[in-house]
Amino acid sequence: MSTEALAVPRPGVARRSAFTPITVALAWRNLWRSRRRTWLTAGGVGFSIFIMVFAWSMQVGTFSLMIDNATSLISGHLQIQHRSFADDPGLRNTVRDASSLLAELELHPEIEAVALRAQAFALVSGDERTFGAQVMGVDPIRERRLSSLPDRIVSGRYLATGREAIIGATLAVNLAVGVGDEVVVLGSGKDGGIAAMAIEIVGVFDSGIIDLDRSLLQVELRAFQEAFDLTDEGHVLALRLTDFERTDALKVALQQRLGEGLSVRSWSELMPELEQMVGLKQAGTEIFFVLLALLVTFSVFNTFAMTVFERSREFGMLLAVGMRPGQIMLQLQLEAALMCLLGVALGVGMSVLVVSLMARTGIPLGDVGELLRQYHMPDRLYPSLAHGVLVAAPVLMFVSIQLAAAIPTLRVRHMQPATELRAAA
Amino acid sequence: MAELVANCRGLTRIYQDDAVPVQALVDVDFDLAAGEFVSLAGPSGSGKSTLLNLIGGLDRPTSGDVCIDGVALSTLNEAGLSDLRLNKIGFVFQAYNLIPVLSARENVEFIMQLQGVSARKRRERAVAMLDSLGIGDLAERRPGELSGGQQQRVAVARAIVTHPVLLLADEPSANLDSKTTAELLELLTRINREHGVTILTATHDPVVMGYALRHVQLRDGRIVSDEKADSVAA
Repeated sequence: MSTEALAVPRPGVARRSAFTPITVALAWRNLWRSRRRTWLTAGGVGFSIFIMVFAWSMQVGTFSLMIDNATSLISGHLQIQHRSFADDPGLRNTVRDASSLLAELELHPEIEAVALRAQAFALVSGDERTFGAQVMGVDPIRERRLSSLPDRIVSGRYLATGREAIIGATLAVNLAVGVGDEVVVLGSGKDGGIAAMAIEIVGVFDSGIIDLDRSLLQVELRAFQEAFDLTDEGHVLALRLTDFERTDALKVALQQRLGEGLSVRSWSELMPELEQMVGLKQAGTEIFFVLLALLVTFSVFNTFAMTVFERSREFGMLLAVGMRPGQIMLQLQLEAALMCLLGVALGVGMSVLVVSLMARTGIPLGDVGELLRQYHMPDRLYPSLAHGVLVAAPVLMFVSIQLAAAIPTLRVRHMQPATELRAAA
Repeated sequence: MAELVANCRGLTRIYQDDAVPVQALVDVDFDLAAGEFVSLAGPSGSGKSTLLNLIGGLDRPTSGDVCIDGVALSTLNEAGLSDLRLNKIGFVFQAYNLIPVLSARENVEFIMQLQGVSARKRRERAVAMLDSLGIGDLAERRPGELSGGQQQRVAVARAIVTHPVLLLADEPSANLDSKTTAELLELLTRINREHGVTILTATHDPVVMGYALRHVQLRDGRIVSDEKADSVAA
């Protein structure tokens, strides 16, 4: 036995290094000193992340379905209107040269379908009764590509060409008319003259939207234009996009292209109540996430309080040999970070696997599904993997865990090496 | 006269446990010259560990001061004390106090990492140190896989690998059998004689005292005798 190694000259002033491979190895191995506790805590973190990602993905799936259902019925994702139409939906506020604009929009790669509509309020009379209704002139071929209303015919058929109409189920009942009956539409034309037409009911629709079923009468666009003194013009160009997430971006681009004479409005502007509902539900979910993170925070706090308590002798020794309290605290924070990463790996892995699988197979809704089918909605819910929350949930967990670990770790700052070593002896 | 490694003047330490003050050390003057191997002996509660802690900068005196290698500890803040302990003092504890999840080599390297020694040099020096203490073949074993004597050698390696001016050992043989104790003491003696490392050890064990060159006796917090050894065991 010799001590030649001591012959190495004494080093000069020390430089201190916070993280090295040994520090990381030490942190990782320390995690496994209490395997059960580490697995429980990391499992809790992972499960919380899974719940967050799964819940958010379900919500995104539900919202996509709701928005798709709502926008596909009538409104579309975007509408191009005369700039005054939103405030004054009168017959005069039209989009002119509609055919050329329509043709241009149909060539846009992000627009799946586009249809021109003209609309006016008029009196609609059956044999015995008269009601006020919104009369909408549509292009049946383009409308079939854009709107789901043609699929909601409960009696008769959808529009073809000529002087024919489809009518909302409630309005049909109110007017006491049905398929094959004739109704008379009486209103004011664009130039102030009388607009009138007698048209045959070829179909009755049930959209599930009370207002539409009670007030909408659709007729063929040319017939409408003739009756209401319109030329190559309409009131709304409804657009269905290939990806509704691109709505806002395309709205800006189109608005720039079309100039100030026309206004591009998104589905959220057309149906603000839908966006408010989505926002409200998302806020509720975010509060749930914060509560979940708080729960995990308590669990991690407990884990690290135990760790600091159990390892106080070790910390006393580390302080004695020259480690600074801040370095020990950093070491513990590193352990917390590694535990969090373990939980994140578990949670993200489980989330991606389960959500991807369910996005393919869908989740059957049982009796509720039957009810939804009546409203032309699918009887299965398809979660949509929310990539944003795949990042946000781990970040929320990481921050929460670091804070939770930091509180008990602060005790190290007040540790005196002699006291900790004496207490443990 | 040899250079002083430690110089204590008027050291008093009073513990205020449960509102009853306990005088662990009373007005102690004590010098430690470079190259000495000194044993601090005395019954339990005599103040051995307290004096060791004060000299090692692990605790602060109620009054008086300690100078280590010319630096008055009272002038240092906590960070300064940490640096002093890291660079000038080596500690060997009764319970070894190795980090259980690190191998013997990593335990030795860890302290050099705190000093900012490069990874390559750390590894070389740790391996050389463990080799020189006769446990090179156990370098990759964790403390739980080593005997008490082997663990204490790793602890000694960790304490001296930083080339301290002073090695403090608190009851280093308390958990060792007589054979292992003798081996450890021979090792400490070589470190002291061949490389001039000053050693101060608190002990109950007459065998340990037999290896020291100077014996200091404490009783009730005061030094009652301080004399050179007539002869040493090694």
